[in-house]
Amino acid sequence: MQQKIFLKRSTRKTIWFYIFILPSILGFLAFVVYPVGRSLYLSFTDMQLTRPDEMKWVGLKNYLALFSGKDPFFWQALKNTFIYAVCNIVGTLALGLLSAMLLNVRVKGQNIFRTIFYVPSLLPAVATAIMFRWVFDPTNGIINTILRAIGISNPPIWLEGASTALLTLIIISLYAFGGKMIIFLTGLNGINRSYYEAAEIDGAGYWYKFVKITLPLLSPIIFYNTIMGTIGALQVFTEGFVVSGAGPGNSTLFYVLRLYNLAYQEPYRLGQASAMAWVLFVIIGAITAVYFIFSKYFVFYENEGK
Amino acid sequence: MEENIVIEENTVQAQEDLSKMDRNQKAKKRSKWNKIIAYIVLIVCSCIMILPLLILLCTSLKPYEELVENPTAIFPKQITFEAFATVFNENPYFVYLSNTVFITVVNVIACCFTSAFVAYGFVRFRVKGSGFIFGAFLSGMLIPGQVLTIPMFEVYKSLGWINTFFPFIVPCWFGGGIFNVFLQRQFIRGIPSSLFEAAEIDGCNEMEIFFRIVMRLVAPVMITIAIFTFMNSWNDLYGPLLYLEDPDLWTLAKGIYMIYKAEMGQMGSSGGSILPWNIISAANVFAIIPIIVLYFIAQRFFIEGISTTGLKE
Amino acid sequence: MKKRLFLVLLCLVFAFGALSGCRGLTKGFGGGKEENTNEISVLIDNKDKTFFEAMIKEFEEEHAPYTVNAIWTAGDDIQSTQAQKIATGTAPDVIVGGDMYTEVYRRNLYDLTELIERDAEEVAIDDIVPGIMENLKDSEGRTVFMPRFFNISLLYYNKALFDADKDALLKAGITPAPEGTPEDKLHYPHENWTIEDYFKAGGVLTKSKNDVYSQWGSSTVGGWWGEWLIHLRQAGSDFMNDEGYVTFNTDEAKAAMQIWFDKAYGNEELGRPKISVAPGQADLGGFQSGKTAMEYGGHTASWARFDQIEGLEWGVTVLPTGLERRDGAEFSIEGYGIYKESKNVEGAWEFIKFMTGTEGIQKGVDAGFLAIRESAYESIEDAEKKEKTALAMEAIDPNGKYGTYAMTLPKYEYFSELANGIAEKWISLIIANDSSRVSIDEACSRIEKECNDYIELNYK
Repeated sequence: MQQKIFLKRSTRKTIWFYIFILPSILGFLAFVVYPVGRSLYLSFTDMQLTRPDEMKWVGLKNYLALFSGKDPFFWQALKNTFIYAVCNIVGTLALGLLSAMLLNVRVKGQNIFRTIFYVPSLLPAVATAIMFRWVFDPTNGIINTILRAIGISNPPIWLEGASTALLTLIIISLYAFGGKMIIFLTGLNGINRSYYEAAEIDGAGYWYKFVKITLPLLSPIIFYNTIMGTIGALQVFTEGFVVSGAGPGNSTLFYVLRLYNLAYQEPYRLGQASAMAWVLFVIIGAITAVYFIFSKYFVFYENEGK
Repeated sequence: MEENIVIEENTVQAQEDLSKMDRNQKAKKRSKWNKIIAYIVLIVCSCIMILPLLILLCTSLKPYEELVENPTAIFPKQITFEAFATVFNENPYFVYLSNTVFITVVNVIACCFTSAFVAYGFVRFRVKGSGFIFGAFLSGMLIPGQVLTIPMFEVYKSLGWINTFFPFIVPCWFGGGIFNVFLQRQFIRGIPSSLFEAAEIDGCNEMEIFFRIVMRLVAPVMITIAIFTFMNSWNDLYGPLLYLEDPDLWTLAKGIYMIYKAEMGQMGSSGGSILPWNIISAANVFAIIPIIVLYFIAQRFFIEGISTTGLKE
Repeated sequence: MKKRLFLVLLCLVFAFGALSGCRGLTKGFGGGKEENTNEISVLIDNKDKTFFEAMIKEFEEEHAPYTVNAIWTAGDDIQSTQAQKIATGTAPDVIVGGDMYTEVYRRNLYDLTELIERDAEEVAIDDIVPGIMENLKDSEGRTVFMPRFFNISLLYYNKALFDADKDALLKAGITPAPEGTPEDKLHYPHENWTIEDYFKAGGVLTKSKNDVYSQWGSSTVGGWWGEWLIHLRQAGSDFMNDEGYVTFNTDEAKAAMQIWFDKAYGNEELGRPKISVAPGQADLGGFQSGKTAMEYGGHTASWARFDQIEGLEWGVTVLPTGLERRDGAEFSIEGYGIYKESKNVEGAWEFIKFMTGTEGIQKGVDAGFLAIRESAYESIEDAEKKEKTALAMEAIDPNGKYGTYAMTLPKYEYFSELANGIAEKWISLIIANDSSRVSIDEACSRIEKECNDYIELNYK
């Protein structure tokens, strides 16, 4: 009788394990496994949410349409997104690093400066986007007012010009470099002072110290943040959506924005949108893989041998 | 002979000392210049960063006539709250705010609690295959959100969950986000297991251990998770765009966006070439203030949190 | 201490959120969806709030127990919001639409033919201006909308600005006014104008100094609710052919685009001056600000607004003849239909009859909407307004003076996707003011190719 009550300890442990894990398992099945499978399936159909009964299998048609140019938006969206992503990552990392180094010079009121640089990255993207729409207004915004005041009579029309709209969005996106700055600050603090002192004794100048000590020691951080930043930047949506939609001449049509228009606006083409989503998945995966392969040459971990 | 060597050594030592003093002085001077230059650059950059926010604030305080008359001026000649009044009167702004608060708070509570719950399971029980399971969960993080959202939209529609809060408050109870589980796991690992074993010997079952011991100890991680969940939920625009149609249900993010769109839509059809930016700015200001306030209250946790998440080594 | 304070704060915040969002909460959990079969939901342009609130109040009094749930939406968003609601299962009972939407909402509209027959006296079909009802039928011949007002493209002009340059205008070589025009109206635009006259007058009325413009000869409106389709049709062609494909790589299209370009930048070869604003230049507020002399096309919904602006004396005439013909002015009708799966068809129908019946239209006309019923037209007291309305009615009458001047938009469900989504982009690049500008030839061929690819991909 008693043997039935006291299960083996390891079995009991296993049962408890699964009880605790249960929410995650359910969540994983419902919110990861199912969607992945379903969206892959949908990408091979011409499903439209408004006409679910008319759905039929079309094989690779959606994918071919994207790549062959039958879909007039795909390549442009991809191009726009890539340009944005590259500029954004390089820009925010550079600004983050520079500002972190600046702050490291231990001036008084360091906290205030840190706050001023960091808080903008916490604000909702909607809010900053709308705010900058006014700032960059071609006729009345502060930017062009200043430009005119210093003598440039025909300042760029920023968000209203097909050749400048994307650039404007990139500039706006740099406003949120604060997050990277904090990361670099912590990273810089983690660098052993003795490295610098040793270099100074050898007569090293700024540049040498930067390139030979700071950068290599920060490279793991830079690496990790480049990956995360790329993944994030390739999925940019809010900035484009709020400020300019597709923009003049579709110049600010981002990939995820295009996907949104395709899937969640008339006529709700979930099939094609799923194909686009999977293409994005593959692209992100490929880029991440490339990063990892090249990390051998650029990333130095402190624990490795010299 | 030895004396010579000693004298030489002393001389060499003296020379070294001298040059060290020299270097120190030079270093001090250099560092003073460094500081001044850094100061200047920092101040200039700060001004640039603050400028848009300043303009936002000033524009929201201007009366519309001033905006039309002198749109390029920064500071209002006359401070008025009419823009704020319009925003509140013509929109159920209060409702937006409370909806957002509701969704965010539920999210935060759910994520904090559930992630601790799940993480405890992973740490405490060395079941074979648990590492594999965790890895599988983690790999779910690599999937871009778009792939997942599309089928879920389909599901929500058939469940009738569109235009309700359910898509926002249900998913977070199932694991609370793998990344959060990861953070919790790292943290809970640090709790000596002897604590758990002692409790077990005392006769507590696992649930009791969890609620009484673990929950009390995970405060620091909880705060970090709370902050990030808060930020994500508060700032989210994509979700409300997809799932919330009724103006009564909008969150702040969608609210500001719709106010912006409504005012922008006046462009072709209303008199005057200046849009009512003061109203748009006023709505915006209110979305920004809570975050700024939160930052000032919980500054330390923001910084700590983002440092730990950013420093993957 | 701090911890406890924080917890208290948290509870307060949560309570605040829950309590004040109560209304949202019940709805947020799908609460407010009790079957209220006496409620009629409809999307309404929040620009016309005052008018509709009054109408709704009256309707609810006269037709209790029906109530109206007005979903106030920005005008531009009505169609996309409505489509979204239909797609996500929260469709309104009354569908806002019109001639263009008979195909778009093909699967979602209730056939009104029987209802109209049943209540024929109340509906008084014959009272409706000729040229309207046949355009509100779908491809299977079912009537799916009842009209509320219509829009026809016309040429609007600012009398004061024309008067100020009367002499210069009379000397500009413009086609003379028809016989019998009073002396003080000789310089105004009239029905014998050609597109070149339009340019000439515009040139006289565009004023600048050192590249800073203080007055524009004409407005420019992009987008498919704008002008390019008119130019195209007046050149003798159309955007879509009978098989449902797009034709744009044609000489006519290029000539039409040339007009579009020349307005913003002038054209020395063809003797056309710059008469309108190019991207990046200040538009000075459009026609209603009194600094733009003409509006090409316009919209009849703005009549009420123009009337309210102090000092804006405006007139209308039909659009000038284009390169080939005058036909091609955009004609659109806005009306109400019933959602096919509505739970309250009768209630919706009552609302529609109320809004589009003789009294409803009458009140609409008083509020500034264009008269779509003869009876409403007769009752107009203001002589000038009556004259303008008569012109509009004449313009859309296929048996009237201007024949087939008025043309509805192509009745394909994907017209809007093509025009708004694809053509619009290239057309705006034609007049781009920077390095992104494309040549007319390239734009035309791209439009045709991309549109047809899109049709192939999605609809064939």
